[in-house]
Amino acid sequence: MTTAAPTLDLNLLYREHGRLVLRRVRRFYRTEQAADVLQEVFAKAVERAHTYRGEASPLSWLYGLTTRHCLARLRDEKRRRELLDEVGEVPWSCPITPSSTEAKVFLSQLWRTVDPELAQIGVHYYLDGMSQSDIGEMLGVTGRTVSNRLKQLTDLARDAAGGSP
Amino acid sequence: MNGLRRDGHLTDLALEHAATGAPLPATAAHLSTCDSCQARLDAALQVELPDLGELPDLQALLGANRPAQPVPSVPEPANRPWMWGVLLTVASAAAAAMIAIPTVLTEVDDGLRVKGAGLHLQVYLDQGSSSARLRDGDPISAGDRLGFRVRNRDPGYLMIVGIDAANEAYLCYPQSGGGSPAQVDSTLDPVALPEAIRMDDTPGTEQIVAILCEDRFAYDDIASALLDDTLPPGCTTDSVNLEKP
Repeated sequence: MTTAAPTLDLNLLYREHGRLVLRRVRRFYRTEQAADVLQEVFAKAVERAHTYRGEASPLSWLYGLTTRHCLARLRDEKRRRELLDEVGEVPWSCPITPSSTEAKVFLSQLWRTVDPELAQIGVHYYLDGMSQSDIGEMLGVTGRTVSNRLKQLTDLARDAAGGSP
Repeated sequence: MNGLRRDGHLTDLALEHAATGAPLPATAAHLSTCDSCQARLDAALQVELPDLGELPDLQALLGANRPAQPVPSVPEPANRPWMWGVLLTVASAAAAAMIAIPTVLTEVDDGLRVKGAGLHLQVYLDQGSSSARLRDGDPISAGDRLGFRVRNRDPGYLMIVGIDAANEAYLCYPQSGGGSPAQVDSTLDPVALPEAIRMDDTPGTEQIVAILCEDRFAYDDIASALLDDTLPPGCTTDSVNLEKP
């Protein structure tokens, strides 16, 4: 017996979720840049469609892909502003206020230097306030994997902060 | 998926589900009682897609094994339908670049500068399917993508750091090392590094510095040392200065 691979209708995805991508892009980019990044994300979706395994909804897959693309783009741009400063004032979103040392270290500098997957997990956790299980479901990994990756991130943040707990 | 943040409000992703008219089960009750999240949802629903021009047939492109469509000429930079054509060739262009870059640079290599203990830095303008070597004083523009090649006679720990006209340092390579340098063996020929940077719009001289040290170091320490011109013993550098009008 064979199982049909999940498929993505990208035209439908754009029509139904173009606004989602735009809103997510606006979380990181100002209005004047958002249209360009929006197009880049859908081009990336074409390129990465084979990675869609059906474990998360197309909406969640696209949301994660958009986040990762924006982070990679911001890192390429070499600006060393804090990630929170990159976030535009968008009324549909309000970031979690970072209170812990590791959250502040991650959002100020660490996000730019860790691997892309870890940066994405950190953003979803520290900035978006998502639960570990929700992050895992969106990325198609277990909550335990997310927990381990966050532990790694915490250790790096503490090292960067000079070992303070 | 729960869809609730650690502070009890809807996550942005849960808000997107709600915006489709199908809120996650765990969030529906919260949405009906939370004015703040309802206001966020109302604001989200007011967002309009920009006019992107004529969109390509994505499904056809996804399944097709054919060249990208002809690229229309659009003068407005804030709305770039041509990006579809350009970006859809990214995979093939990237593959071509991996072959083309060493070839091009070998052809244009007119002698590497020698400084310190055999550390040599080349900076090139990454144009997708081709690249152009940049030398001291060459102009660059905001949005340019720069790649690097390094030859080091001695093994050690390598990092590339940029310093912009505002005297602000930034990490160019390795960007995925958590602020640690890359451990490298000695090389006879320049080696292309697997990461690139995109330039921002800060005008003035952009200094790109390769640092090779005998001992492991941290980005923050070496960036401060570069800015203060107090490199630790056992470190050598080579740099290229570029001009951004």
